[in-house]
Parts: sequence; structure tokens; C-alpha cells
Amino acid sequence: MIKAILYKEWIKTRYLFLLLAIILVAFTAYCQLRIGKVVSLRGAAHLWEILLTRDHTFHETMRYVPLFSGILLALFQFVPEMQQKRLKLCLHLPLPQSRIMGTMLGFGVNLLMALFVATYLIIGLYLYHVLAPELISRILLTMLPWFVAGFAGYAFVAFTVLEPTWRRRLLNVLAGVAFIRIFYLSSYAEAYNQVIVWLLIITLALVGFSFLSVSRFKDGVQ
Amino acid sequence: MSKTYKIIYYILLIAILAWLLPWLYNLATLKRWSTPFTLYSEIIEDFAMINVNYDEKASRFIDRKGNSYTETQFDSILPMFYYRQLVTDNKLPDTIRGTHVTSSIIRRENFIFRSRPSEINMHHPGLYPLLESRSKRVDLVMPEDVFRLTKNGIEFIDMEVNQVNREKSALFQSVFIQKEVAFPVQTIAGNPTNRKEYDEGYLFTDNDGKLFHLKQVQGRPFLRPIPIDPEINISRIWVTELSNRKYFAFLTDANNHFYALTAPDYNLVNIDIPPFKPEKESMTIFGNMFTWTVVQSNNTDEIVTAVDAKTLAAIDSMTFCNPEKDKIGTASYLFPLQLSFTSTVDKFFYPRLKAFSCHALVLNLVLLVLYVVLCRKNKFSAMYLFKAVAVAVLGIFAFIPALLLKQ
Amino acid sequence: MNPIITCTNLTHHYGKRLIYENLNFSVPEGRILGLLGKNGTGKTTTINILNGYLRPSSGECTIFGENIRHINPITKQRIALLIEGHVQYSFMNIEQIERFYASFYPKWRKEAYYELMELLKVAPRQRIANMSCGQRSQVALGLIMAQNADLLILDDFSLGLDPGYRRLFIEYLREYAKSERKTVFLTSHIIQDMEKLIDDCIILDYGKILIQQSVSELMNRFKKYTFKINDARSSLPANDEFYNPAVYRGNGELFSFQSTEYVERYLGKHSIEYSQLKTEELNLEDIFIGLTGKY
Repeated sequence: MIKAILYKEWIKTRYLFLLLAIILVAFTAYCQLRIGKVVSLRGAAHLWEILLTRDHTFHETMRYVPLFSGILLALFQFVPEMQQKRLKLCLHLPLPQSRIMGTMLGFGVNLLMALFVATYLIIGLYLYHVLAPELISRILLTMLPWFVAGFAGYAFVAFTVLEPTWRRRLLNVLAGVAFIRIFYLSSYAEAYNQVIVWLLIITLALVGFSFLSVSRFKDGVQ
Repeated sequence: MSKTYKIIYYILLIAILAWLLPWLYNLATLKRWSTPFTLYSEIIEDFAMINVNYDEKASRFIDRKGNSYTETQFDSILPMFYYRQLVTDNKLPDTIRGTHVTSSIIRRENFIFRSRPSEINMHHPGLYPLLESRSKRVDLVMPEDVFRLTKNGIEFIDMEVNQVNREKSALFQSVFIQKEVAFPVQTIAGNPTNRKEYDEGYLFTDNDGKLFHLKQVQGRPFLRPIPIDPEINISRIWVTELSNRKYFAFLTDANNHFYALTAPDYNLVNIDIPPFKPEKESMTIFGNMFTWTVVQSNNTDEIVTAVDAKTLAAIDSMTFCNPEKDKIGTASYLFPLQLSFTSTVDKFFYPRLKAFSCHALVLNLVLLVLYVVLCRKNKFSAMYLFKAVAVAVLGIFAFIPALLLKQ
Repeated sequence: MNPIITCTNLTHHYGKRLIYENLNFSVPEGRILGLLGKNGTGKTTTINILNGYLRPSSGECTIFGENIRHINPITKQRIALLIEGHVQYSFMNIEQIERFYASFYPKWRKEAYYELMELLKVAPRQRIANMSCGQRSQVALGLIMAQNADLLILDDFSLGLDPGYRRLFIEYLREYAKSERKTVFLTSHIIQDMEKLIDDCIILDYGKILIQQSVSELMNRFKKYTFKINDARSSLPANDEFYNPAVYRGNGELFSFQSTEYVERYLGKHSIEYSQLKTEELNLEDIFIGLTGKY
């Protein structure tokens, strides 16, 4: 039964998954081209010097890509459920409601996780040949808030789409914008190191906000 | 599950408001506090300052006693700072305080030193380029490698191939062992850039608190232990590389004393200024051959000390205080606390609660009464009680979301 | 017979607007019950409450004896649901959707679904979104039949169907429900053809139930009376036994469960001069209009 729900989510998102994979790979490749260009034109030492002295990671172009991915995934997963209140079909399935929603949200989080981890691995493997571990971790840690923002985007868009009333949708969007803003407040290198794990845990917990929307849907709030 | 998330959502909205409302308020009301640009004048032997009146967009040149100067007069009482203007006007005296001066002497002796908390409170990758300090070229060249300090040694990494240079690492490591450096290194400072006149490498303290000077001289390590009073616990170092070559570095110790390390004899001299906490306050030194004007400032105060350039003893000092310092602002009546994530004194992101105010309790109580009146038709529940307590404690931050989430 | 669905004292408001108050009804086992009413009388509201998509202002409903607010997932396997407009997962094709639902229902009958699908001239990989409304209704019906549930709840199944598909749907459903002894609870605002499908009906008017009885009884007993009036009156005196009495250009009409004698006595008692009193047998749609009025 859980497998069937995953199957349904996969049918909704498979083309998007492909698109997001292509986008992430394309952006990663672009950033690596830029790094490669610096190395070939000015030498590796120049690249290292920039990384040591400035808050620059050569991956700034990726800043909003994970957020965009999270938002799109939530839209692709939950807009079809809310068109013509199709969510009723889902909630009528002979499974506890929390299991159904948990599976759908878990699918989304894991899909994002897979995309993001793959992106990190590609970046890490490429940089492994060019930079010292200190600098690789500096780049990866500086980028981490952007990826957590991807989960936050997913959480709040799902929360908003599943919400039955427009008034509350507006509130959810505003809260989401404020929460996501947090991940882009500081652009200094490694600024989020102390709290990023906590932010990730909190963000993943907030994915559960959708339960609140579904419970309001079930109460028929208008 | 949804009940838990109801509470979580409420708490999240409170946090967002505790962050954004004070931010908006400060954005709308905060006036930037600025102090006059102040230097010690060797001529009038007092502080001279430029008081910028932002309303008139005009500058007033005055001294501490309130005497006014024209711009040209001001150049003359600060000849060491405005010497280039004086040279152009052909007014630079050839002796000041009995010492012969020329523009080139003044240029060599002048320096500006800056330390900002935000440059200290940040993550450093821990890789250090070590320049060749006695290269045969006129200009300094950035090296092809960087070193890292490990738990028990030093290691050079060749950047082009991204591999440890074992030979060079072993060479330096042997010198470190020979000079009895106790690993790991505690604090290290240098200016790894080729945009400077000369290179003095790095100064560091080892695990025992001993101070060392590290340079690369013709590819060979130069490592020199610097004997200092063992009572002095060095906490932070700035390699100066001033053009007069009189000092290797400025340093602070655990008791916030500020020192200069003289060159070439490695003497640690106390600079006679108030305690300096580099993590919290910024410092600017305008130095010349006679006096240093040391400016220490934080959010509310700015202390300016004139120090004798020869003895480093204080000559005079004055303090500027932010006039808003002890005033209770409207914000403290509105907000019981303020949440922010970033700061001007560091480059970190983490939640910071500040500006706790009990003056806001009055508003909190008013809002509590209003909340009870507005929700009088609701059934009494644990949630209602929770929200009421939140409004009483967190005031407006809890009141607005309580209304927004009302059924 | 055991009631499969019972609703007691069901009351619902949207904000301050009352939909209905103290509604009581039950659906007996093995019967096809139609909840009929004009738009806005609360048909879909009732379906939503029954399926747990709406918390009623007050009152209680049970299905198979379980309170619908906390119904056991296993019990849900015994309930098939058709949402207004035959809404299904339109991003799937007919094979995918069959595979999706099959795993949820232990009594799933794949053949029943594909039997119906063969009648539709659609490619197996055609997405449901690209089908006509009629074809979509057949997919939804096929899924319900394959689920092999004991109770079928259909919300306004006739919406958007052309007469051919409506007839097809009705015939298939009736045949299926009767041969398998299924209980069916459905709503519709199109009454045409409905007497071919339902056994019992509940007719909702704004805020209350007008009538609940078997269709055959209703069609036997409920009559339309027409007559000519010789004076110039434009209305008839009120009587609780008559529904929507009206006079138009000297033609009187009224609807009632009462006999011709009762109507004659009534006209006589109020000394109304009339002629050509006729009794008309009615189909369900006319009965519905007779009961609820044209407006």
C-alpha cells in the first residue's frame, strides 16, 4: 500500500525529477567550468588565494537553485492533489491519514535529499582534485544553508498548497518567506557552521506543517 | 500530530515577529551615531576634530576647547596628517617640536592600523601562504604553496598539484622541533599578501603560550622564539609591517592589555591605553613620528587616547558617548526582547536574544486583557491558556499570531 | 434490515449560513438510496460529512456502526467513493490507476474494471486527463466496481454526463448493485432517469428533509391535480397536504399524496368553482418539481 502511494508520487514527479537533476548538474558543471577557467588562466594558487581571503565560493550561481527545486517539487506533488480537491481520494484510502501524508512528504524529502546529496558528491569529487580539504569543506559548508533552504521551500509550499483557505495560505506564504530568508541573511563564508545542523533538523520537522493543513482540510475549514 | 504542529506554528510566528518587528522598527527609527573625526595635534597639544553636521552638510573644524579653525588652519595644526596638503601649499615647516621633518620622513613614519571585531570573529580556513621574505625581486610574490598547522606539526601543500610537499614540510617540521614548539599552535597571525612593502611572515604562540616568529628566508625556515614575561598570556596578534620597520606586531593578552613588539630587538612594550577587547571593539591607530591617536570604539562609546610615539605612554585622552546610551527608547516599551541573527561585530549566523525589557510588561498586560476580551467566546482550553501566558510574557510578538491563528 | 449509514441530528452551518438542521436518516442494507435536492441544499455537504471531509456543526453519523470521524482504515476498504465530477488521478493512465488502487483492496477485481474499460475506446496508455468527461466517468465507475466494496457513496455522478453516458452509468451501476447486493448512497441534482436506478429517495429542501420513502411508493401515491377555475382568483387557500398549489390564467394545479376525493372536498369547502379536475401520474422528475417547486 505504501509502495502504491510512492508509485503515485513518482508518476507525478518523475519528469520534474529529471528536469531538476539536469538543472542541478548543469549549474554544478557551470561552477566547475568557472573554477577550471580560473585555474587554467591564473593558476591554482590564485584560486586558493581567493578562497582564503574572500567570502567567495565560486558556487554563488547555485544559491537559489535548491530552493527553486524544493518549491517546484512541492508544487508538482501537491497542486494535483488540491485541484478538484483530489486529496479526498487520497484520504479515503484504507490507511491511517498520517501514514498516507507521511509517505507523500517522506517521498518528497527523500527525492530532494537524493538530488542534493548527489550534487554535493559531484562538487566534492571535482574539488577533491583541486583544493585542500579545508577549502572543500569551506565551500560545502558555505553552500549548505542554500540546500537546507530547499527543504524549507518544500515544507512551506506543501503547507500552503494543502491549506484549504486563501487567508491562511497568505499567512503561510509570509511565514515561509520570512523563514526562508533566514538562510540567505549572511553571505559570509561558513557563517552558519554553528547552527546549520539545528536549522536542518528544525526545517525537516517543519515539513510536518502539512499535517496541520490536512487536518484543516478534513475539518472542512472554509 | 496536528495539535503539536499548531503549537509549533504559533511559536514559529512568534519567533518571526520577534525578529522582524524590532528590525523594521530599528530600520525606521535608528539614527546612526557618529563621532567627530579626532586626531591629537602636536602643535596645539590637544585633540582637534572635524564635526560633521549632517543637516548642513558642512564640516566644522574645532578643538576640544571649542576653538574654531578654518580648513587651512586645521591643516597646519595637524601637519603630520595633512603634510601632503601642506607640501602643496608650500607650508610644511622643516622642524616640528625640534625635529627635522621632510615629507618623505613623515610618509615613512606615518601609519594607520585597523582592527575590526568582524575580521576576528569569523571562520578561517587555517591555510597560510608563507611568502619569501628576502626575494631577489623588488615586489613580493605570492608563494606556490600554503602551510597548515596540524595537531603535532606543520605541513606545506603545493597548490598546483594539491599535494603535501613532504620535503619542505619535513624541513620546517625539523626546525619547529629543534626550537621546541609545543603543538598545537594556539594563535597565529600574518598578512599573506604581496601588496605590502616587506614581509615579516607570521607570529604565533604555541601550546605553552610561548611566542615565535616564523619567516621564510631564501626558501629556508626562520623560526625564532621570542622571550616574553611568562606572566603575559598572549591572546591575539597583528603583524604590522609598518614602513618605519620599528615594530613587528601589536598584541593583546588575556587581561586586554595592548602591546607593541619592537623591531629588531623583540621587546614587548605595553601601550598605555584602556583595556582593549578586539573581539568586541574596533581600534584605529593614526600613528606618526610624535604621537599615535588610538581610537577604540564600540556601539556606545568611543575612547580616543593620544600616545607618545617614543615611549608609548598616554599623553591625553577623551571619550565620546552615544547620547542615546542610557535613554529608554520607545522600543523597550514595545518589545520585551529582540531577536536577531547577524551582527556587525562578527561574521556568524546564530540566534541572539537581546534588549530584554521589563518596560514592555505594561503593553503585554494591555494586550493580554485585549486578548481575553476578544476570545471570550472561545472555550477554555490548554491552548487558550498557553497563548494567554505567551501574550503576557512575549507581548505583541505573541498577540498578533494568536489573533491570526484564531478560528 | 441493518442500517449501513445512520445520521442523527445532523446540523451544519457555513459561517452563519444554516445548511440544514437536525437531519435524521438512515440507509438500509442492499438498497440504492438517492439524496435528491436542488443546488445548494446540502447534498455535497452531507457526502463530505459522511466521508470525514467536513466536521459537522453538530450531530453524528455512523457507517457500519463506526463513527465517521474515527473510522477504522480497514472499514474504509468496504466503502467505495465517487467524488463529484468523477474526479480521479488524471495524471495516470487506465493501467497505472488500476495498479495503484489494486494494492489497497484485498477483494479487488481486475476483470470487472477491464471489462468496462474495453467498452471505452481509449488507448491503455492514454492519460485520464485527456479523456472526455463520459470516459472519465466510466473509469471512475470501473474502479468502484473493481473495489468490490459493500457500500458505494456517489456524489453527483450525473454531473457533466451526456444522456448516453448517464444511461450507461445508471444501467451498469444498477445491474452491479442489485446482483451483488451492494448498498448505494448517491446524490444527484439531475432527476431524469433516476427512477431507473434508485430504490428509495430523500428529497432535501433548503434546511430540511422534505420526504424520505421508496420511489415506487412515491410514484404510486404522489399525484398532480389540474382543473379549470371559473373565477378570477390567482391563488388557492393554504393546505398542508398540498405542495406548490398555483393558479395561472384560470388553470389551477396542485401536487399531493391525497386522493381525488380529498381534493374535491377541499375545493368544495372553499367554494371554489372548478371544472375538468384531472389526475396525472408523474415520473420522478415531475414529482421532484412538484415537491420542491420550480424556483
